[in-house]
Amino acid sequence: MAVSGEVRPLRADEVMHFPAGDSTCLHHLDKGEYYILNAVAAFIWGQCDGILTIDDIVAKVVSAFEVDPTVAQADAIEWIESMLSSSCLRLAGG
Amino acid sequence: MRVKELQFELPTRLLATRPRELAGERRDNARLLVLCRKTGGIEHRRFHDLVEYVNPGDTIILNDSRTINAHLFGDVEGLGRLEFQLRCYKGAGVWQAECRPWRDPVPGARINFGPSLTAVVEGIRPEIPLWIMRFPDRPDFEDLLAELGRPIMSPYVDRVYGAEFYNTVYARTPGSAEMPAAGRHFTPELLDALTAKGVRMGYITLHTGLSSIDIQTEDVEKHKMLEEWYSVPEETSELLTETKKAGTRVFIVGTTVMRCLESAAGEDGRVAPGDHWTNLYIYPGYRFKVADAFITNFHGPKSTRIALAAAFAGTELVLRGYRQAIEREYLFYEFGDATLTI
Repeated sequence: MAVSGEVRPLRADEVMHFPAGDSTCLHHLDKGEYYILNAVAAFIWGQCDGILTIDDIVAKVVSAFEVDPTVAQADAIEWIESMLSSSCLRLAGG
Repeated sequence: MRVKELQFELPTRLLATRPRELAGERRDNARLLVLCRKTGGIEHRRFHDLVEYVNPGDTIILNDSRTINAHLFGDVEGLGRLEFQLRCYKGAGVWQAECRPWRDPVPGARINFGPSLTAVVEGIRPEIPLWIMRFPDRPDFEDLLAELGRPIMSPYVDRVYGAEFYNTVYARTPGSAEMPAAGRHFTPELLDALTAKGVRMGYITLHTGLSSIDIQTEDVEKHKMLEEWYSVPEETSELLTETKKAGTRVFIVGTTVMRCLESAAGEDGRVAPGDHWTNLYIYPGYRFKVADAFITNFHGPKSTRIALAAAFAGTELVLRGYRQAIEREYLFYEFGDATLTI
C-alpha cells in the first residue's frame, strides 16, 4: 500500500504495545504476530493517533532524533506502509 | 530488605499464555505447590487436593469482586485515539485511568469511547501518573463496558479472552480492573466438596486496580502501595470471629483478601465489618493477625505480591518453593498454577 505524506495513520485497536527491554513490542492479538520496534519506530508508533499526518510525524521525528528530513520521510513512509500491510496500523477516516 | 532478595529467574516459557480450560482442563486441576511453614516441607499437588488440607470448621475467605472490561479505546478531543485502562473508581462516575501511549490530559476535553459512552477529562493524578475522568453516573455503565471494552490483558497472554475467563465462579460485585486470580481455581464441584467436608465460606469485596505496580525502589520497605477499596460484610466478620473462637483455621484466598482482612483487623485479630480504602503493604517482617493459611498464585520477581507471600511463608521457603516449581515447569501469573502455604 503506497501512502502520501498527507494521510493520518492510526494504531489498530487489535494491537497491544508494551515495553520489551530497550525496545517496544507490538502484539497483533487477532493474528498472533509480534513485532519488535526500535526507538524511532516506537516513537512513530506513539504518534499514530489518527490526527497527525505522516508529514507531521516526520517533522517530529526530525526534531526528536536529529535525522535528515529526506531520509526520515522515506524511512517513515516505508515503515508505515509495512505496518499498514500487517494491519497494525490503519488510516484514519479510511 | 533489598528488593534483589526477591529476585529469581523466571523463564518466559512458564508464563501462562491462556486459560487452562481451553485445553479441556478443569480450573481446579491447576498444580498446587504446598509450603509448610512448620516443617519447611514442600509438596506438589493439584488444586482440588485442597480438600485434603482443610478440616471441618475451617473457614475459607474469598473475594467476590467481578472483573470488568476496563480496557477501552477513546477518541480524545485534540489528542486523537488513545488507550485507557480504568484502574480506580472514586465514586460519582469518576475513574482514574492509565493512558497509553501517554499524553498529558487536557482538563475539559471530551473522550468518546463509542456512540453511547463519553467522559470528560478532569485532570491528572501525577504520582503514578493517571488521568482523572468523569463518566455520566448511569446504571448501565458496566453493560457499556462489556460492549465497548475488553479485560486488561497481560502482555504474555496470547489473545483477547472474554470476561468469563477473567472471573471466578463466585464473582458478583463488579469493579476489579484486574482479576483476583487466586480464586479462579475454584470450581462449583470443589466448593461443594469443601462445604461437604464442613468448611465454611465467607466473602469480602476488594476491587483490584492499583496494587499490581511492581516495586521500583531498591529497598522493599520504601515502596508505596496505592489505595484500593474493600468491603467486609457483617456476616463475614461474624464468621471470622466464630472461627477464631472455635480455634479452627482461616484460609485466605489471594493477596486481595489478605490485604483486606489485615486492614480491617484490630490488634486483637477481630475483623471489623465496613467499607474502607486500604493501601496496606505487606512485606517480610509483617505480623499477621487473621490468616492461618494462604492460597495465592505464582508471582513475578520483585513484585509486591511475592513480598506478601514471603512475609507469610518466609522468604527462604517461598524462594525454595519457587525454585522447585520452576524446575517442575509450574505456570505463573493469572492463568497459571497456585501455591498453598499452611
